[in-house]
Amino acid sequence: MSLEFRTLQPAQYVRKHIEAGFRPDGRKLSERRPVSISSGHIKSADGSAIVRQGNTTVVCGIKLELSKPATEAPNTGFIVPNVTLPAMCHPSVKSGPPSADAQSLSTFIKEVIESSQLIDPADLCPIPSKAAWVLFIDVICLDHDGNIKDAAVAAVVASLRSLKLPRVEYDSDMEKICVTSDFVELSLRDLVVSSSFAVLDVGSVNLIADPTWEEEERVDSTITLVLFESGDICLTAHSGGLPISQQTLQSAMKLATTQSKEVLKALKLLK
Amino acid sequence: MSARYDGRMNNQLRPQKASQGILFKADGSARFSFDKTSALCAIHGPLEPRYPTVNSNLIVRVITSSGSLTSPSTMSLAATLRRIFSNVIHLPFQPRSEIQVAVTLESDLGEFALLASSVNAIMLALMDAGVACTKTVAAVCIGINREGKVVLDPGAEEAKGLKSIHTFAFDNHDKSHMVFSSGEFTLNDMKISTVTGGAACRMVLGFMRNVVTQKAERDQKCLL
Repeated sequence: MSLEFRTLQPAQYVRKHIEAGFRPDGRKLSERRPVSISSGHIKSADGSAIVRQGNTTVVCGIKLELSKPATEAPNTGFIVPNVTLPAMCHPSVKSGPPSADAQSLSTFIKEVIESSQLIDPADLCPIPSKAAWVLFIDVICLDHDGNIKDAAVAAVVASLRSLKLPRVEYDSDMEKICVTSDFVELSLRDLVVSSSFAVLDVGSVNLIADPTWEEEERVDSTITLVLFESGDICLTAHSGGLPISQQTLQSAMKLATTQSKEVLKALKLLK
Repeated sequence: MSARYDGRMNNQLRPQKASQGILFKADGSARFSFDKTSALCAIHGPLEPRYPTVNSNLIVRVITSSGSLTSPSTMSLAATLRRIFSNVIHLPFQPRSEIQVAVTLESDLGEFALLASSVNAIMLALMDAGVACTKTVAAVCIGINREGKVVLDPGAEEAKGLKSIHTFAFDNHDKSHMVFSSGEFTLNDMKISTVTGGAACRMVLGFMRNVVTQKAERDQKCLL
């Protein structure tokens, strides 16, 4: 009976649960799914991580390439993030050129990295004007059960923590750039954690933490907050859907602060 | 309070310019600019949709000044604008039809204010096209500088030196339709910038009201 209801009236199914104060998978409204992060397992990548958040699984791989820095910025390297949603991750995803969702996620990751200044671009330029690292950060969603944003940010941060940059030397006599087999640690300015909430108005406005795919599709809008370890906010994103009041934003902030502690713990365990 | 790079005070927006009905083939068009940060919007609709749906379908395309249509940032911006205007346009008004919105970003300094200009240009173009809307929205960019002071409508270079940047879109009922904040800020910063953002959006809505009124008066004179 409930399976028919779930398939034929998915919006009502989610709504009835939220009205009663819990979710289809039994979680409380403010409860996040347990997160597990592991890093450094992909040996062909220079940095990597896998994040599992309930059923949502996201893999991140970082590849390094050496390049000449731009003439107008001779001391900075390049960071090129890309998020892919392959057709295997969910029945609704078709194969073909990147969808608007994938492009939005790529832009989101780029904004998080730039806004948080996680990496000092000067760290990526071992020899100014001659050699700069290009970080190709590829995030691939293997299983899409909602809230890829949070998983993707966790995967990127974990991969960056596992990244080791080879030391680069410049031989001025031979005018050659040599990549040695020594490694230099990449220091991250701070850790960031993303917390996304779905917003559903069932008479009162409810914030739903870490929505599943089923919930994400059927809600009025979503807010994402990216917080530093210190508690300061790095990025806030909400667009369209239900207009958000200041109160809702504040509640989201409070929830995000408590929830990010768990993810921070998981990130710190990696090293 | 010391003056900023262009002589403005912290609570002053850049001079706004807007015009409607500038493209003859489009059903509605408008250009909106905060000084040099300018966006041009063309609306075509209602059109025959590819797949008829109960509510009319909204398609938003964003093109940069260099002609780029499908880069991640333009597709992301288009998705954002679509989410905002799906709530502004009264989509059930014309079922089984399509409304196409094409936005051209006319400057490429990478300013945050381009998002705000795009929202304002689309709103004016919708009014020019006579598309049924349930509310009017206006967007504005706010910054918080290193001294913790709120700074309205930062320029491209000025924005690089700020501690955080917030782009807001509020409607005529003072409800927030879009918040994009980045940088480093606290909950208190968010509260202050939201209040300032709301007030600034009201100012821009007032400006848009003037533009529409003046155009209506001009059109009346032409008819007589």
